[in-house]
Parts: sequence; C-alpha cells; structure tokens
Amino acid sequence: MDGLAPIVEEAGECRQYISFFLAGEEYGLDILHVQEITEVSAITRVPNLPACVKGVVNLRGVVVPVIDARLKLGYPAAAYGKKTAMIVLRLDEGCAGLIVDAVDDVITLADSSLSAADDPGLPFSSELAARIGRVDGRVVMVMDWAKAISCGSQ
Amino acid sequence: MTARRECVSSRHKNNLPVVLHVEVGVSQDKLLRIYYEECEENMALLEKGALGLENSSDPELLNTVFRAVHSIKGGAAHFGLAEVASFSHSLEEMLDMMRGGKAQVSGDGVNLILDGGDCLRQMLAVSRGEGAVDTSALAETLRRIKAYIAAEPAEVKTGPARPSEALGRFRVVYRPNPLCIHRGESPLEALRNISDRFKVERIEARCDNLPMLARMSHDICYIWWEITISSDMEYDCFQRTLAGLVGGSLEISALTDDKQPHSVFFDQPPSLLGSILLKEGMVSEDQLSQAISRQNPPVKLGEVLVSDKAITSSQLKGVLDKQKAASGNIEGAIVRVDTTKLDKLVNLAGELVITRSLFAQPAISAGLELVPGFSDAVARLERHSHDLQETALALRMVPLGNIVNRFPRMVRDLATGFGKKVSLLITGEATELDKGLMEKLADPLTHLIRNAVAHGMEMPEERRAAGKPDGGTIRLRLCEEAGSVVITVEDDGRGLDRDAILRKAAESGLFKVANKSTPDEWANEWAYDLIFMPGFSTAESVDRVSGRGVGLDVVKKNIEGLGGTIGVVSSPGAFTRFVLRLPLTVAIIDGQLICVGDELYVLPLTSIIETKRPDASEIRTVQGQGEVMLWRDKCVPFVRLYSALNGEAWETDPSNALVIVVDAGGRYLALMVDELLEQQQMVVKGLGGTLARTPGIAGATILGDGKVALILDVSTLEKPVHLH
Repeated sequence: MDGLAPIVEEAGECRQYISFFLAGEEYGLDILHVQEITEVSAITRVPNLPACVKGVVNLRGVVVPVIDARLKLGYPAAAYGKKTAMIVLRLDEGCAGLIVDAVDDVITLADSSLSAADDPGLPFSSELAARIGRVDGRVVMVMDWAKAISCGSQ
Repeated sequence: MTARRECVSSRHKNNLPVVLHVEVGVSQDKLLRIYYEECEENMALLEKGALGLENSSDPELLNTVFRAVHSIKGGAAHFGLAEVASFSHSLEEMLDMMRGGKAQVSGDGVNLILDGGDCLRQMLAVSRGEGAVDTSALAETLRRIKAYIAAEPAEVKTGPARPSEALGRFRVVYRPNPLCIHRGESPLEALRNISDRFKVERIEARCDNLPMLARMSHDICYIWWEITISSDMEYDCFQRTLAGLVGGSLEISALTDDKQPHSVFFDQPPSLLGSILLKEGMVSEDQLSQAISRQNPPVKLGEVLVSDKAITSSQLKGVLDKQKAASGNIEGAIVRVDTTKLDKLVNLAGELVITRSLFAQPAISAGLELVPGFSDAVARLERHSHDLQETALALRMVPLGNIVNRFPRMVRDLATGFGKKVSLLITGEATELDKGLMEKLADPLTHLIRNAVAHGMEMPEERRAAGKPDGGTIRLRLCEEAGSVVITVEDDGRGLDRDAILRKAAESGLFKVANKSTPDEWANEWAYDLIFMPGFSTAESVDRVSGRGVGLDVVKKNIEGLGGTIGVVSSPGAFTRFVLRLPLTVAIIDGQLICVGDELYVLPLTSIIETKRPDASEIRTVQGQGEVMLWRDKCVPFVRLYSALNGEAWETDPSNALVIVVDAGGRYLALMVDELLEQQQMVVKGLGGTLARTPGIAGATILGDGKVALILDVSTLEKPVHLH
C-alpha cells in the first residue's frame, strides 16, 4: 500500500496500479499510463460512434475523447454520480478519458502474482489481455487499457 | 596554395587551445535538428546571393554567400559530417578566391556557386537520411570548383586579402559568444580561419573567465583569445575581413610604433557605423580614420564626424537607422520553439479566457460587483487574457519569405531550360501567415509559378513579334488585406485563350455547348474558371494552345483545403493573374453556431451560402428514400441534421425549421437545423486521439462557457443520410 514500498520483492518485479471499481468489481490500471484523475465535466456527444465513446471534453484547452469503461466492458450503463471519476490516460496519439464508477487506491502487485486470463479455469474473456491478481484478499483485474482504448474506439 | 595553408596552420597548431566537445545524446540530436534548419536558411541565402551576383557586383552579396557556406561548414565539422564539411570547404575556398581576387564573378561563377549549393543540399539531405547523392554530378562540380581555384592564383597573390609583408600590426581580442558551442559554431574553427588568412604572430588563450569545475557547462565557451596579426591591410579593410571570418565580439586595435593604439568594438560586420558610412560614400577613409583617432570612448564616432562637418546630422540619423536595421538581423533576437509548445501556450491562453467567465459569472451573481474595484478588475482581466490569447496565436505566424525565397532560383532554372528570359519580382515577403498554412501553401504556389514560366510566358521571338520586351516578368505579390492574406501571381505573357479553353472543355465533355446558344455569350470569367475543373487538366494538347490547365484543379483543391479561394483574371496577349486569398491562420475560423435539438454545432461561415425558412412545397422525396430541396434552379440534397448526427430535434417538420444551404466542395447541400445562434471566431482543435477521423466532423472548438462544440465537415456529412 505504501507508495514508497520497495519495487523489487521476493516475488519478482512489482508494478503500481490505480485500482478502480466497475459495477462492484475491482480493476487495476498501470499507473504509468495515467496522466491524472478528474471529475467528469460536461461531455459533448460525437455522433455516429460506438456507444462506449461518450464524446469529448475540454481538458484545460485540449479536446479529449471520453470512453465509458462500463460500456466498453459490456456492463449495463449507470448514471454518473458523486464518486464517478474520469481517469485520463496517456496514449501514443494523445490523451483519452476513461469513466469509472469510483477510484480506490494505488496498489502494488508483483508480476508473478498475476495469472493470465487465458487460463482455461478462469471464467472471463482474454480479449483485452486481462490478467487477474490478488491483493489483501481482494481480486483485481488488470488490463492494458491504453491498448484496449486505442484499438477499440475507432 | 594548399601546401602553404597547411604550413601556416601547422605552425600555429600548437598554440591553439583545445575546446572541449562533450557529446550529449539528446541535446546533440536537438542541436543537429536546429543545424539542419539553419542549413535550409543558409541555402536560401546562398541562392539569393548568387542570383543577385548575376546582375550586380556588390561585394556584400559575395560576403553573404560566403558566410552562408561558412556556417554550413562550421556546423558540419561540429557534427562530424565530414563530407559536407570538406565539400563546403572547397566551395568556401572558391568563394574566398572570388572575394579576394578582384575577378568579376561571371555567369559561370554563379552557375558554379549554385551547382555547389545543390550538391551541398543533396549531401545534407543524405545525412538526414533522405534522398541520394548524385555522385557523378558531385565529382564534376568538385572538379570545376578545383579548376576555378587553380585558374585564379595570379590575381589572388596581388589581392588585398592575402597575407604578405607586414605593413601594419593589429592586436585582436576575440571573445566568442559564450553560447557559440551550443549553437554549433566552433571558436577553434574561427581561429583556424584567421590563421589561414592572416599572418599570425602570436596567439594566446585567456582562461581568466574559467569558472570552478563544478559550475562549468559543457556547451559554454569560457575562453577568449588575444591575437597579434601582421597584415598589409588598411585598418578598416582588415576589420571588415576579420569580421566576415569570425562571429562573436572582436576588439581590434592597430599596433603602431608612435601612436597610441586606437580600438573599436563591434559585434557583427554590418553594424559598424564607419563601414556603413564608407559604403554609402559619405565620408572618405581619411576622414574616417582621423575621426577614429580623435574619438575618445564616451564620444560617439558619429558625433565626431558631425563636428568635423564631414557629414550632416540628418545624414547621421539615416545611417544610424540603417545600422539599427542591420543589427536587428542578428540571430540572437530569434528563438526557435517547438510548435507543440506554442500550441500548448495557445490552449492555456484560451483556457484563461474561459476561466475568467467561469469565475466572473458566479461572483457577479453573488453581488461581488458591488465591491469597489471588482468590476474594474474583471474587465482588466478580460482584456489581458484576450491580449494574451492573441499574442500566443500571433506566435504561430511566420513571414512568407520563408517559402518564396526558393522561387527566384526555380524561375531562373526553368526559364533557362525553356530558352526563355523571365525574371521574378517578389514584393511583400514580410507578410505573415500561420506556419501550418505556410507548409501546405508551398506546393500550390510552386505549381502556379512553374505554370507561368512554362506556359504563360512566350518565347523571346514571339514576344518581340508582339512588341513586348524579350524578357518576361512574373510578379509575385504578397499582402494582407481585410483579415486574409492575398497572393497574386501575375505574368505578362500571352494570357488565356478563351476560345481554346471553351473548345477543349466542350471536347472533354465538361459542359454541353448545346445548353447555351453559343459559348460566346459566356462571360470571360466563367470561361476562365473552367481551367480549374478536374477533367480539364488531363489534356496535354491544350497546354500548348491555351497555355494553361496543368493540374490547376489540384491547386484549387489544395487552396480550398486551406480555407482559401483562387481566381484568375486574364487579358489575351497581355497578362494572366492568379489571385489567392487565404485566411491568416488555420487555427481560427469564423464559425456559425447552430442548434440541433439541445446540441450545439459549428458551421464554417465560408461554407454557408444562404439561410432560409423553407416552404413545405420545396421539399420533395425522391424514390421514397432521399429528400431534396428545390433551391434556385437546382435540386439539392436535403439533409436533416438531427438524423445525420443521430441526435434529436425540436422540430421534425421542415417548414417549421431553418435550412442552411452550404457549399460542400463544389456541391450544394441543404441542412435542416433548429436555430441559428451567434457567429464568432473560434480556435479550431483536433478531436483528439483516436477520434481524429470521425466522418462529418472536421474538429472541435471550445466555447466561452468551456464546453466543446463540434465543427461540422459538410463535405463528408451527407453520405449516411441516404440510408434513412
């Protein structure tokens, strides 16, 4: 939990993740991809795009596309509330906002503690290169969101 | 010659201090990029100077060319581009010959300079990883350069610039600009140049400015030099020659036996008052040297001369202005900035404007405006933030000279190739344009000028027969007019052949002659506009007849893509004039805000032709799927914007809504909207990341309340509509 925790533990290389919630489930997002976390501001709808792309917002003078993480992963849509947050990801082609139910914490996970999703025993799809890990008894799903957004929002 | 050079340099080699070159990955890369940019500028200077030499023997032109080659060479040596360095050295040597020897620089010489420049350009491109070097041409040019050098020695020996028996001795204090290494100039190189050109008696490096090791920066030059040189040159001539060789600050004093040494400080060659006065022929060398010898430091040279009655004070003022202009050109006044940084600044400035309104609105409704001074402060904040935004946007503007400088050379080469005599007159090079636009303007403009030379201009015989001078003139005029940049390309050639154009257009089926009784009824402008039609350009035969029509559709498309317009005026046998109008910047458009349901969109004002409330009878269904509107004498596609944009509308009955007729790249569209709001200038932004190519959307802008509004791209808008 401590941000200053040693990066290398016995388990091998560790990374830090921003953890957030979608429909009560916990997800992790590599902290190196995160530029900032903000509130959801006024979104302008962009026509003729997949439903998960909510539109664009003004982030300090830069127009940034916004993706609803719930819709992207096939959860039912939910109204935005007080805890709803936008995680601004740094992508190769600029920035993108990812709307999540709530941002929780910064967690540290060892690479070796993550099991790949193509493990036939696990009940979810590996489409988005997801891996699954455990921290303090909770289950966290980790995926490469930058990649998922880049290839999925066209 | 070469042998003697070696001997001179080796004699002094041991005395030259070594300047540390520290290779630092990232910053070297950046420096290299700057170097290449500077090379582009220097190549332009070289060509401009060389072309000028064809008609004038002004020594300053040769100096310009020399300095350009010299700085290319200096940088090349610094960055280890050995081939570029050695070639430019040969070229420089030749130029030095031309400069030193009084030989008239003939057409041959100019050709040689230009060819040398071409080789350099190729080599630089190769070192950037682009293109290839034509090795045979390179070898040939090098051979010609060497031959030129070899053929000249007799004059060189008697030339004033060569060292010979010492008549005078000079003490030179050379303090390089501390940032020179950072800029890729090498003081060592400068010292070598000095020892190549002059008889150096003594050279001493001074290290008294050297800081503690910990404070030392690898790209700052701390060392300065004291050099004693013997030369037969006059003081003034020596001074000018030396200043041409090295940058930085020079302090020169003549060492004479009986008199106190007098000294003059100066930074850059053209900014010396005395040399300007001499050049203008206002004073004689005697008068000047007398004045200099009597001048005590706090008294200015000009004042001494005025009190001597050598010049009048009004003359002095004129010369001082010139001096100011010359020193204004010094590169230190210019900063190179990455455009992304500029864009960031523009964004932030725009954001400040928005933040002001976000903060002022609630403050006013909370009654804060009653607090003394509050309204005033808000007004001031508004003014400043607007000023800031405008200034930031202005930073993107660059003078058009950057692209038009290449044209004189192109015209010369083309005209020579065709056996024509053509000169190019450029006015208004200082007119500024957005950098983004500028880059895209280069191609269309090149095309127009090439056309003018190739097709517009007649052969000399033809011109003579028509009673015109042999040499034709192409005028390229650049100016700013009512918020747009107007570019005129005019040739005094044969003009457009209206009949040939109409005939050709009829042949290629661009229109049916039968539609009109005779083409004669058509206005000239109408006929001339045909040359911009896409089908028109493919025909080769017409080029010779009409003299026009090569790829002009592409030119028109490019210009319109930049938000500009192009038109042509011509008088047969007299001239053809193309007029281009461009917005000052791509970053700002005049937009019309429209309402579609609760959503706001922006239409570029330039695309709007008419706004009207349609009559129910004007809207018709076609084949039960698409809708058209009868407008003027046309049927134009009728687009319900709410459905094209998958949105919702207040009104679905066209007769209760508004219709905007827009020009969508040559076709018309009738767009149904709910309401028109205000028109305003808007800063155009990309949609960001992966949405950049959304059909129907050209970009976005940020409105006064901080919300994003999408800018519609009318040319890609109507396609999905037919499906509804």
